[in-house]
Amino acid sequence: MTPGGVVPPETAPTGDIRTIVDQDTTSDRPWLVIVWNDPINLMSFVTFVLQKLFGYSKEKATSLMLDIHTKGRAVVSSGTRDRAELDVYRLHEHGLWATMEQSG
Amino acid sequence: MSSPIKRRRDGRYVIRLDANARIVLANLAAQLPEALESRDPMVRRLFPPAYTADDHAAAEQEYRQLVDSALVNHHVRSLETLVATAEAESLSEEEFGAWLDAVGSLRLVLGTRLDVHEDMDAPDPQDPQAAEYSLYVFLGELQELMVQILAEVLPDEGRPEGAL
Repeated sequence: MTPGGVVPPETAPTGDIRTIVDQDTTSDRPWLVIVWNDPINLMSFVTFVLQKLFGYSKEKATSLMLDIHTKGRAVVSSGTRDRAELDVYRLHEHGLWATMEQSG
Repeated sequence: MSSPIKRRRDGRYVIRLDANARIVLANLAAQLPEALESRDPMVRRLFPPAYTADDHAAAEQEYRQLVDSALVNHHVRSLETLVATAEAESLSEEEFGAWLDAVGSLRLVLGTRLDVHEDMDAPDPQDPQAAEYSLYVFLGELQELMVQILAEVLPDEGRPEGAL
């Protein structure tokens, strides 16, 4: 994000091997929607998008934005796979670098 | 200094921009739809992956097939709205939202092309990228002001759980 930021990753860290092997419990674990830090999007814009899309308070959206900015990524929502895909899509519509992965 | 962007009492938005800035914006915005529709590599930043794990390559392919044309249409509609209303005296809520999206798309494309990074200094005026960089800065200032105005009406306490 601007100011500051790191280059967005082309690939996220790969998940735990259990996500491949342990099929029985795979479908039960929630999907996490992650927003990654990027060097272009403004901090104020990221906060605004999180408030607008998820209805988060200004305080919560700001805290998530700061996590993204300082830690490189933050989980912004979680739920079923369909729900996570929809959230990722809405974030992509707003130009945020969002990905999804199943919680491990 | 008062902001050059205002929300009027009738709910319409006024952006104080000189004629040259409007022409520059419209010209920039007019260039992107073709690049989007042909999936030119210059717009790749507008299509981030949803699934990045190696074992989810098939899911990523499905996601792309499902959303890419909607994503293209979304951005193209916004850019076309900006071009059509570049000289308008005031904008509806919907048009203002389209401007925000179009300005954001332009920043992402320009910023990617300029390879902007953390703590980047402005290029030397002699640098061939200097003009493009100042456009990038202009778009950032515009976006910041637009976000300020829009954030004013979002409730600080957020929406009730589950509301859209």
